[in-house]
Amino acid sequence: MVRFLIRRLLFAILVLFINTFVVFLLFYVVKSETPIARAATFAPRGANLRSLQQIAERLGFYHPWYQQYGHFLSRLIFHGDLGTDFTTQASVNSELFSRLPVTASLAIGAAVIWLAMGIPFGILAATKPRSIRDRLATVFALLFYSIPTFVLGLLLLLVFYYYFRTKLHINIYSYGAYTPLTQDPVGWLKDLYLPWLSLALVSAASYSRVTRGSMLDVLGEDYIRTARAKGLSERAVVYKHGLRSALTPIVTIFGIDLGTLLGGAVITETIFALPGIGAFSLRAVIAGDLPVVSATVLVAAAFIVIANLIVDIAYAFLDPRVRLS
Amino acid sequence: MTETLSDAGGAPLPDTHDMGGAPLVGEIAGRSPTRLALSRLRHDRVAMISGVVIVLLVLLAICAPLVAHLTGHGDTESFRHGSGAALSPENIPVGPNHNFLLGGDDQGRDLLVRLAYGARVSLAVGVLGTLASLVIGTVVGIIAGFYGGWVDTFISRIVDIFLSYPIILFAEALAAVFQPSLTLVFVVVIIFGWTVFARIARGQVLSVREREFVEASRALGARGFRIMFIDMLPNLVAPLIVYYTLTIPVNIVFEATLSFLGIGVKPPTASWGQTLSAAQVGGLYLVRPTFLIFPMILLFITTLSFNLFGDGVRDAFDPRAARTMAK
Repeated sequence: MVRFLIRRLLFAILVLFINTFVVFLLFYVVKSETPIARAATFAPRGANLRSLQQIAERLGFYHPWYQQYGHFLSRLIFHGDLGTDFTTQASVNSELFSRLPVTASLAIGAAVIWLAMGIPFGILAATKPRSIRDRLATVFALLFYSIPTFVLGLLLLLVFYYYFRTKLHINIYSYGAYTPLTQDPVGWLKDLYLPWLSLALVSAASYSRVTRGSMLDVLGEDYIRTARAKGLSERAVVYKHGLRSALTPIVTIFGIDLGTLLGGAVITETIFALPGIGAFSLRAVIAGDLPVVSATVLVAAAFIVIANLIVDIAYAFLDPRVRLS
Repeated sequence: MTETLSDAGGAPLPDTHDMGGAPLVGEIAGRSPTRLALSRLRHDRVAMISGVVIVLLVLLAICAPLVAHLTGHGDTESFRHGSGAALSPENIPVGPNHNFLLGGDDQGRDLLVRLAYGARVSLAVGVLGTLASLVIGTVVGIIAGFYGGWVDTFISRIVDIFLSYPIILFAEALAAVFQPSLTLVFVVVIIFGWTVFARIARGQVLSVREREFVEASRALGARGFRIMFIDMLPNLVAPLIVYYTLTIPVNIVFEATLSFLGIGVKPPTASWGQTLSAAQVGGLYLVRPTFLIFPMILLFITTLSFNLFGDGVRDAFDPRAARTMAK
């Protein structure tokens, strides 16, 4: 177990290293620009050559790219410092830190909703296959599964924001606002329920399908027949014996989905104008703001890698046959 | 799905035996699993209807120039002034009328023509882009599974690295460095798409590598290439086809999303994602809802029919499996 963890951790670090390296290669080698041209991106419009040189000097553009990469790495490893935002001159660490709660609220809240909808729907459908409720669950799943997240987001905005506000004169959603949970829990809920729904409905659809399929597989197993034969109630058979192994595939996709979302829900944050990591990274990529791009890619990849690791460990607890080696 | 061997006179049918499936009435000769699957697919009404819808969408894409010709409106042509304009004097797209069947867009172009041309981009990325990642992934996966050892370890680790990338962020980074373009969308779809196909192909190769037919082929003196691509490949087809059909809608949505975010197909090339983005800018769709609703419906019908068709393909190739939805 310990050896497995160490090996996985080392590989995870290698992956993150390669991730940042590729970003640097892309921005410095593939997109080669003179230091002055690069500095012009971050200078006020119409800045003269003198000030451009100063900016290029300050941001370290005169050094070869591998030195800049080495500098980035050493600062990161020895000080945990992700550098300075070229555009705002603020520390990337503090910018990320201030945006993390937004993205985390968005991701975790949506995850709670899609799990609370998807898994029960899947179980209900699987315990009575081909019944009316199974077919209803299937229709629900296929409809929402086929709506792209950004389309669903636009639709929700159209109805619950614009329509209610302009036609009915009721404000039930404030666009682009974010209230921290610690400050005002009700405001937090009100600012996030539409983004949550746009993320959660699509995922709930696919989770209900996966739960149904895996539950049907499990309920056909011999040990379920044994459980029924020894006189357990249907409830105990389904929820105690069946659900535990049926959840294994759910754990896998859930880990990866949540990990991906925590690294920035780019689409949802953009549509609902939420100040999270995803919107932050989109802005940085468009501006060519390398420290922010590297940092957000690093954070996003770290979440995915950690999620994968947790999934592997969770497997061992859910399924006694899995041995970590 | 009941299969009675007595229908076939009790003769063992090595090929069809473990596939279950279609009744073997009056036919004793072995039908290949693929043919059995296709016949099952033909009897799946939902899959067939969605198949017809897909064919219609493909026709719409192929006939886009015809649509432009019939309406007399070029795909990048703006109609801003005069009585036959697609934009009102206040720069609001007109609603559906006899001249512009689906109304106009933000640039005064014919929405119908734009959507027909957008179908080309969506389907090209969905069908062809996914096909390219299928081919690359299959070749790489077969090589990893067949040779094993360090080759396998190396390829599997590369797959792991690719799967750990935040795809949208990476697509953004590529779009910032190179200019956004259709080619770039293809590149992103392919370099992130091959990995799962490689995993599937590798897993399948591992499960057939030690089978007798491979041993027999080896005994006859066959070498690596022949064994991999002539003997083994037909045994990998079913799961790859299933995953392929289910990945097409995912990539169609991916293209629409990238174009919506402005990092996909570049104007004036038409794309549904871009039309949706234009409809949303400045709340234009509040004044002219059809501008948003038509592309939305089209995108929805496309993904829905590919999903339903993919579901049918999976059921046909693996009749024992419960209907689950691949992520």
